[in-house]
Amino acid sequence: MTVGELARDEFLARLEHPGISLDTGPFLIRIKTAIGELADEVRFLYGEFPVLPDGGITHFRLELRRPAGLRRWWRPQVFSLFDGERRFEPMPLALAIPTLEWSLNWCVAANAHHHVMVHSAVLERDGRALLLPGTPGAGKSTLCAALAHRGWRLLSDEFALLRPADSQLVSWPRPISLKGPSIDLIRAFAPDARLGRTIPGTPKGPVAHLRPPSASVQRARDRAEPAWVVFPTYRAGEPARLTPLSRARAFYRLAQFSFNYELLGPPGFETLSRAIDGCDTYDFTYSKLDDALPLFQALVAPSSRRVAGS
Amino acid sequence: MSVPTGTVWRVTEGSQLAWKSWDDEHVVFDYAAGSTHLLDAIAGEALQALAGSPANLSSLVRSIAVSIGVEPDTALELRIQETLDRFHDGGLIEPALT
Repeated sequence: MTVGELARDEFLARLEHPGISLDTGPFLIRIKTAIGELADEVRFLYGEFPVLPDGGITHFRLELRRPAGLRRWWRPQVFSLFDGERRFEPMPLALAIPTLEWSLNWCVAANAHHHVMVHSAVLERDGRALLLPGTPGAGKSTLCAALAHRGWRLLSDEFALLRPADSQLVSWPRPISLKGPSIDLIRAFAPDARLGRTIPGTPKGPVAHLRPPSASVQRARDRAEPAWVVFPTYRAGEPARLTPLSRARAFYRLAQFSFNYELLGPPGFETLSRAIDGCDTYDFTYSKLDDALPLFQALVAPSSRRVAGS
Repeated sequence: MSVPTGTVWRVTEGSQLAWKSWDDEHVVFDYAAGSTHLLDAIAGEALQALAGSPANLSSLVRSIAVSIGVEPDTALELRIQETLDRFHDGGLIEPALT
C-alpha cells in the first residue's frame, strides 16, 4: 500500500496519530503532524512511497508542530522534533514542507554514518551512476530534475550514499527541491513533471518540490556503480562543455562535499578512492538544459569511456 | 610560513597517512588529523621521501632531481621550498628533533 493508495481521511488520521511510517529505501521514517496544510503536501510529494504498519521500527521519527499559545495566531510558526527533541529553530508556518525536507536531510546527515555521505545529486543509467556534486547555485538540482525526466533514474537530489563495503551507491529518491528560476525552467522543460506549490520567502528564495518519478521510487532498493563524477556550474550565456578533470582533483573536491568522510577515517578514504577508481571525472559548465543533456546522453555510450590519464 | 634553510624535516609524529595515486597526482589522507591533501608529482615525491627518512631541503632537492631525471637548480629548489612550507602549514611535516 502506498501513500497515494490510502484514502485521504485515513492518511490524515494516521499522520496525526501515531504518525505515518514510510519505506523510503535505505531509511524507514515516521512523520507525524496535525498541520492540515502540510498533510496534503506530504501526501502529494510522498504519494508513491510504501506505507509501513503503525508501531514498527523506524530509523528516524520527525514530528512537525505549531507552537502553543498566541504564537499560533500571530505570525504562525512550525517547528520540528527529532525523536521528541527540538533540534531546529522554528520557521514560518508557510515553510512547513521545506522544514520537513531540511529536517529529514539533517536526520540522515547527522546519523547515517554507515554510509559515506556526499552532498551530490545521483542518477543512474544501465546500472551506472552519475554524481553531480555542487554548491548552491551550481545548477545541480536543475540538471538532476531534467535528467530524471529524460531517462535517468533518480537516486537522490541531495545525498550520494556510498556503501563502505563496495562503494556502490544507495538510492534515496526524495523530492527534488527547485529554487528560483529553476522552477519555471523545469515546468517548461518537462511538462509531465509533478511539482508542488511554489513557496516564496524561504532562506533560499522561492522553492518548489518535484515529486520523485514513480519508477525511481519503485526501484529505491536498486543500487548503482559509480561511473561518472561531474561538477556542474551554471554560467549564463556559456555553451555546455564537459572538461576532463583529473581523478585526484575530483577526489579532493568530492571529499570537500562529504558530510562524514573525514569522520569515518580509513574506511571513508577507501570508499571514496574506490568510487573514483571506477569513474570518469569532469567539470561541466552550462546555461541551457537543451544543450546540456545531449552531453550526458553521450557519456552513456561505451565509446565515451576515458582511458586512465586522459 | 617560511622556515629556516637547513631545517631537517620529518613527517609529523603521530600522523597516519593513507595514499592514493592516479597518474602523477596523489591524495593523502592524514586520518589522525582528519585532513586531506592534494599533491602534484613533485610534492608526492617530496612527501614519499620524508616518509622514508627525515631530510633537509638540499638533500631533498638532490634526491628528487635524481628521481625525476633533471639537474638540481634554483627553480627546483624554490619549488620544493614552497612545497615544504605548504606541508608544514598543513601539519604534514615538522622539524625533526636533533
